[in-house]
Amino acid sequence: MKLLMASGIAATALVLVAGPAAADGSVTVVPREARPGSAVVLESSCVKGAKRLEYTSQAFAGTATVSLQDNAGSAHATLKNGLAPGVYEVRGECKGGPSDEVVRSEIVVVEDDPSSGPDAVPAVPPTPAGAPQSGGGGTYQRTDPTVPLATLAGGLLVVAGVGLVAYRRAVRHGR
Amino acid sequence: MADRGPGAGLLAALAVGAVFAFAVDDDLGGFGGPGGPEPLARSAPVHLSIEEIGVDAPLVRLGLNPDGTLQDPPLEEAGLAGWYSLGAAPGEAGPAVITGHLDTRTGPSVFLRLGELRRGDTVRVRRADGSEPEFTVQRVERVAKEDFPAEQVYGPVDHPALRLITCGGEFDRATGHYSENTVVYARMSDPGR
Repeated sequence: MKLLMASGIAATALVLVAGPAAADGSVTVVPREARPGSAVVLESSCVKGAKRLEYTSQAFAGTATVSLQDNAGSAHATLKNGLAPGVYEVRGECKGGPSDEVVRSEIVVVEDDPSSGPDAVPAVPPTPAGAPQSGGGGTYQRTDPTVPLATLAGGLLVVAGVGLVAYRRAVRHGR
Repeated sequence: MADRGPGAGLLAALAVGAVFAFAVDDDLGGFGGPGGPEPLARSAPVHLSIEEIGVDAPLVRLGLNPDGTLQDPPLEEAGLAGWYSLGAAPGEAGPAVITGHLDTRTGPSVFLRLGELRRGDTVRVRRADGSEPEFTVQRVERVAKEDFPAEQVYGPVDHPALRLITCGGEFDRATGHYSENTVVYARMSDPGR
């Protein structure tokens, strides 16, 4: 139950912080709390004209850079392995624009708890209920080639059949 | 017998379609076999790469929702996929599960082209310990959500396996969900240490 509650809180937190990028010099970090070695997403925006955002932090394995579109964008960063738990500053520099704007935020690095982290797993991992709802927003247009291939095969048969009939007629008329 | 021609054509088209589907889903003679690579120690995956379909994505950890269903990666983060962290890690013995969205509310997402993978394609995972195990696709299947094969996806296996999952089929605007899942089954072919 404790796990379920924690998962629920985490899921709610994810929804709450995954909103539009801040426009006030702050950075939205998803998730706000993360374990060493995990990936985080950074969202922010710069004043008009900036081309990219370069994020640095003592918690990051390297610089995370994103090219901006309409002055905003999402960058992905990976936390270093073996980080000590604590609050780490995240600093983003707007580059290629008219100003040297800096955006800031923090990320909370939590202990890589073996009871819930990657170093241990329940003896029998719980099987998630139902089917994953990993679809999205419904903007997808069917492009899976499985259906077009079957359709194409059927179409080819029809064309071949029509061609055969036409050929026979031509031969018959030619006699 | 007057409709025999068109009927036979339809049957032939269906038969050809079935052959294509069989070729895609064939799981006979899987890679690795009993003599496959030894499993790796547990380490969290941090990055997923699938060159064939242009995937190059950081991985976030997923748990369970309060109702027991699998959490999803953030919907509007089109470049992210998620790893089910209560199950096996990629490289460990067992089925590691990674899910990603098909699309967002505004455009394509990380697993839009997942259904284009074919048997023999390569999937690479980078883990927190620096290893980069490779997995080879065995089969790809599309299943109706009400028939989701939970045992095949999450059930125990004696080798390092990988399951990649997204959605497909028709989108129901009332529920906000697609009608099907695309599931890719792969197993480790190189530990990448």
